[in-house]
Amino acid sequence: MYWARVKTILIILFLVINIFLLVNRMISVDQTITVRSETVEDTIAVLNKNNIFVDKKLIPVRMKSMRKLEMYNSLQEVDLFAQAILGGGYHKTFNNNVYEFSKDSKTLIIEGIKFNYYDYSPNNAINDLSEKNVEAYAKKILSDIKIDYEDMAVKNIEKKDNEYYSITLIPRYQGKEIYGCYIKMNISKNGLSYIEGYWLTPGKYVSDFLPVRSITGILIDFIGNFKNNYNKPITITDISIGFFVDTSMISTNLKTIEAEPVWQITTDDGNTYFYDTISGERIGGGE
Amino acid sequence: MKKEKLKTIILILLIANSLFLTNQIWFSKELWSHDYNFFVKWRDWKWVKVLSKININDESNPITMEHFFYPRKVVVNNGNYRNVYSHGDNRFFELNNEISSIFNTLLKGEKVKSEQSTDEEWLNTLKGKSFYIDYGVKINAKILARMAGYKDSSVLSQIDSVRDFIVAPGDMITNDIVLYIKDSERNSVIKFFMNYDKSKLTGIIEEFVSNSKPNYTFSFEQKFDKVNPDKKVEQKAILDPEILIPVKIEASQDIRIKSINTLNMNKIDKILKSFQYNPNTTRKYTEADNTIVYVENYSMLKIHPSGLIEYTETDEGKGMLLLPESADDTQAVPTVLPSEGGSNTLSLYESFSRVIAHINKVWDNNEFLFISSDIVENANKPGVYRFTFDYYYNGMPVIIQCDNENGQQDVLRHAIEVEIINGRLKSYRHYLRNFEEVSRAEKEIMPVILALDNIYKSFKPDQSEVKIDDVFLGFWENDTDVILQPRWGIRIGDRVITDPEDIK
Repeated sequence: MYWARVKTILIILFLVINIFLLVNRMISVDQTITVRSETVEDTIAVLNKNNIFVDKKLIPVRMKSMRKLEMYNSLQEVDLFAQAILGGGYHKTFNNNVYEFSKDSKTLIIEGIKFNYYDYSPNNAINDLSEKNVEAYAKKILSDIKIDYEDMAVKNIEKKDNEYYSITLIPRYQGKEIYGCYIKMNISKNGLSYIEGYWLTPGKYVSDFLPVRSITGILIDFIGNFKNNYNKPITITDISIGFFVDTSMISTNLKTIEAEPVWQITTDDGNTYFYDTISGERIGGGE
Repeated sequence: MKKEKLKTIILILLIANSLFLTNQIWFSKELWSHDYNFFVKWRDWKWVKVLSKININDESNPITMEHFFYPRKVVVNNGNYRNVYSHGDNRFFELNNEISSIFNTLLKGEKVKSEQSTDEEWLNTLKGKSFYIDYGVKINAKILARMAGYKDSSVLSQIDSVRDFIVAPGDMITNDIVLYIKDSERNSVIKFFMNYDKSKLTGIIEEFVSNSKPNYTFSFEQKFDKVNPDKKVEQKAILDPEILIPVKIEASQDIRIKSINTLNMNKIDKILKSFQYNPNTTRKYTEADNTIVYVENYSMLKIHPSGLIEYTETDEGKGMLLLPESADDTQAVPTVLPSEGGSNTLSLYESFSRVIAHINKVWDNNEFLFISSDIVENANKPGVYRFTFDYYYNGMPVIIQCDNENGQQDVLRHAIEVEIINGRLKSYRHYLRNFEEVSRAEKEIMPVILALDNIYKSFKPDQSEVKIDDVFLGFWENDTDVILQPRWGIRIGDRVITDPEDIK
């Protein structure tokens, strides 16, 4: 009877300990950093002194831990992609790690994860094409050629030479953009005439949650990028967090690549800068 | 009663879960609010590292500088009978200690006289009672003296580099023994007379010659070292005079490459840290053949599934700075190189010792590794060195023959190839290997003369004359076989050739 009571007490005690440890673990796993308002203001003042301007509303004050994301090379089976985009009966060549597929007026070039497709006389008429529905048509074309991103953000739509729309899409994973990967398409009323892009498919997270470097510290480091251009005022137009793939370092026989969590800083001169959220180092972008 | 059993199970589960969660919190690599996780820092403390090495299951076998200055082979000549000792023989270290003691007496320089000798006298000495010590590579004489503990010995000042030397009892009149050192740079032989117990030396020679070990002859004794017009069959292959020819057919065991699947994440993290890569921040991708590629610090590191690791600097002159063995990994990396003599050029000794320290950081099981390139000054480009290392099992080299990155087939590679420029790593290739015997049973190997004939015919189908620098028994590793069988090979300059039929 006495031992039964001790067990009950111990169960309650360990239940409390387990709850405490579980909460502690969850907090440590998914740390959210909050930046004080004074720190944000001080950062803006330092930026202003260096001729860099930013709206306070653009600076995030709460930052959640991030994980690295594994991306798969979707162009490993080049023939499947060629079949999807050209249909059967194409001519294939392979030189210096570059595949070239051709059929009638269409040409597809694949080098690693980069691909270019040209159709010099498209004949899939889209009579009702307009700025409003070009995104929907673009996503349908991508789905037809098996480029099946679950989530894509439109970065840019432009009407060129009053003839065709140029649309740039960027993949997203759980709401965060994957910088470095993009798909750019030219669509006219005759159909698709051109696509270029880096095609990587998001897979799974491959690291623990890693604490994010505060954006205020990143912005102070950002000043260093303009040391030689103090006279030229710069305005930061966007600050966002996402994943970055450095496509310049990838070999042609790539299988997977880790996308790094990054801060993206966009300036009014059209440049973007990428800072590793873990180390705080600038890892890409800029002039 | 049933309720009590259930309570016991719940209690055990709760205790186990609390231990698991505590472990997760303590040992995760995350930052704590005030500093890095105590337990992560704790693992980096020096005394913890020292204690962690005292582990009976720890297979780590770091190499010391001394390891690279062991002779490749010691030949004990006792008149007609001749034995060879190499690393792996039971009594090799005992014999090496005796030789080292004699060599140290020379370096002390007390009552040492020297005079010029000749190649003829050198070869005649090898016929009589003597020790022949072969390092296999040229070693800078100053470094050899420094390794023996004599940084400023003047005895070897007249010699540039040493590849081999002979210790002989000398004449019957004086109590002096004689050391013949061949200067491999100047191609001259210097003869040193020094005071040493002659009867002790003779005793050691007699002690180490055993009828139970195979007997050898030197190629010059068989007249394989020069064209002999008197012979009925014209000799086209000329052998280096010191090449050893076994009198009887040799026998040896097969060896096996131990599994390299042990390259788990902990070991990969250790490799990354040895190249100053941060496992958390380094950029990583995988190639189609499952090679993992890391990019950081102006360099690229590839870890191949075959156990090959490759480091290359991507920006010239910005490769990793190798630190001395004494430097703590956690210390800030110096931007200016400390060097001998105050110049910015890192000395040969310092460069070599830093390479050794780095190899030990990359992989800690290197007992079979030996230097296979000369350890000599680079007169044209001081501070620029290329060192190669090969695996040797029981004194026999393991020749790695595999396809290279350009698609060329059966290219010979060294176990380790390092390029270093003033302490900065330019490139590094390392085949991570470990070997073990397949069984204790020995198998007979093709007679050396027959093997030489086969190699010559395949190498020189036009039957032209060729000078062979070495004939040896080695293991050939290719991309497919895990079990390696001993085969005869020859070395001509930097080229190593085996019988192409034999390798199939």
